[in-house]
Formats: sequence, C-alpha cells, structure tokens
Amino acid sequence: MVRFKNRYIVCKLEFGCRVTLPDLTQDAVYRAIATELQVLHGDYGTACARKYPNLTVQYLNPSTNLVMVRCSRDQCKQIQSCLPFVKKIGEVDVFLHTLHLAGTIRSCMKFIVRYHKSQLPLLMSECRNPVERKKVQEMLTDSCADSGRTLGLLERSTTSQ
Amino acid sequence: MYKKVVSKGCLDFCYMKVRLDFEEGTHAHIDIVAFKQIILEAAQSMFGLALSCSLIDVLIYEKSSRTAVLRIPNINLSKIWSALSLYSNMNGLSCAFRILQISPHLMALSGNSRLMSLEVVEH
Repeated sequence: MVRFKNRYIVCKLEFGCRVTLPDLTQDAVYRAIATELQVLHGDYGTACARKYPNLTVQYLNPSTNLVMVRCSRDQCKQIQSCLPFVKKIGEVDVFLHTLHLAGTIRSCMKFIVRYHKSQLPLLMSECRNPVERKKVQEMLTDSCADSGRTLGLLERSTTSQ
Repeated sequence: MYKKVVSKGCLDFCYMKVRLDFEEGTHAHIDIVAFKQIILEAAQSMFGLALSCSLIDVLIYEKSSRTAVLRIPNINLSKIWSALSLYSNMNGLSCAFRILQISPHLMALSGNSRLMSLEVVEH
C-alpha cells in the first residue's frame, strides 16, 4: 500500500482596509477556489479536484485570516496557479497570499504557530494605548512560555521506550 | 537511394487534420472564424482558460467538407486531442470532431494513401 500524497497550502486572506469578517466559513472559501478552478482549468481540473484526496479547506482562522487548503500532490500546480485569481469570497473583495506549502498537516501547523508568533511583535507597533500594549506584552510572554507546550503537542513524543 | 531518417525527440509543433461532422440532415454553414471559435470553445470547456490561451492555428480550412489543418504545440497535443474528441454539442446541434491525421511534419499531411483510388484503364 502506498499512502495518498497530499499537499497543504497555507494562505493569508487579504481584505485590504476592511476589518475581519465574522461570517467567513470554510465552505465559502472552498467555493471561491473551486469556481476559479472551473474557469482556469475547466471540467478536467474540477473533476481532478473531486477525486480523493480532493480539494478541501482544512483550517480557517477567522481572527488572523489564515487558511489551509489541501489538495493532491499531482494537482498542486493547478491549485496554486488559481489561488492568485481568487478575487471574491461571497460578496467580499479578497486576495489570497500564499505563505507556505507543505506535505503534512503537522509541518503546516508548525509553520502556523511560528507565523503567529512572528506576527505578535508587529501588533505591538499598532497599539494605541497602554492597555492594548500591556495585553500584547502578556500575549508575547505567554507565547514564549507556551511555545514548548504548543510545539510539544505537535512534536512526536521523544520518550524512550 | 533509400535513406532511413529517424527523428529523435519531438518537434515544437504538431499538425493535425480534423473534420467536423454533424448529424445527417443538418445544414450548418461554418466559416473559418466560426471553426476556430468552436475549437477554442471545446478547449475552454474541457481545460479552461489555461489551454484556450495556447497557440492553436488553423492553417487551411475547406468550407465544403469542414476539414481543417491545425498547428498546435507538441506539449498541448494530447490535451487538445481529448478536448476535441469529447466535444459533442454546438449550440444545441450534435456534432463530432474526427481526427483524420496527425504528424509533426506538415508535408506528411499533403498525401494520404488511404484516400488513393486506383483507376482501371481498359484497353
């Protein structure tokens, strides 16, 4: 038996100057990508995306606008090529900024943790008042203290047997 | 003198002789522009914009028999071939593309031994 070869693409949804939308669902993101796939790669592309391992949106973080898309390895180029052409999700203007491409969910999650951590200091510069600043500082120290534990969940257990 | 020519590797372009067939009793007048439009439509429905933006040239078109010689890049040959084979409906009219001949050399399409007819001359 050979396992199914997957690819996971981590993207950031850029809304421009709009605030984060609360009604963003995985289904809406999937539909936006599938529509674009139909236009760019036709019936063949759509049919390939429906065969297992099919095109799915595995993870969506509405607060940081991160999206993880799964597709088969053979179709990865096709999916990647249609990601920049996605212009609307539902009624909202958007574009997808590809951040990372990986072969397993585990390495994708590792990247997402690392990415979120790297974004925290940038939040600091956007703080307007001391209350916000303190909150971000706490989050920063939490993330440093928590990093071992968070990654520990993702890392394989190294206990000797 | 006989000389064997072996071409290694593929050439850039492939030439394809196709005929567009309709059901019996249908009178469709298709000029060269409409013919190219049908081919692009077939390519676009099957493989999307990614294929229909590639080079597809109609070199010769014969209106009476709806036969044409196309020039296509070799890398897209199988895609265009399958797109044409699976095309079956033009504005509600049933139709089909018949691929008659394919060759990397245009010269090869000039003669076809399958269409040769022997004339019997009686003395």
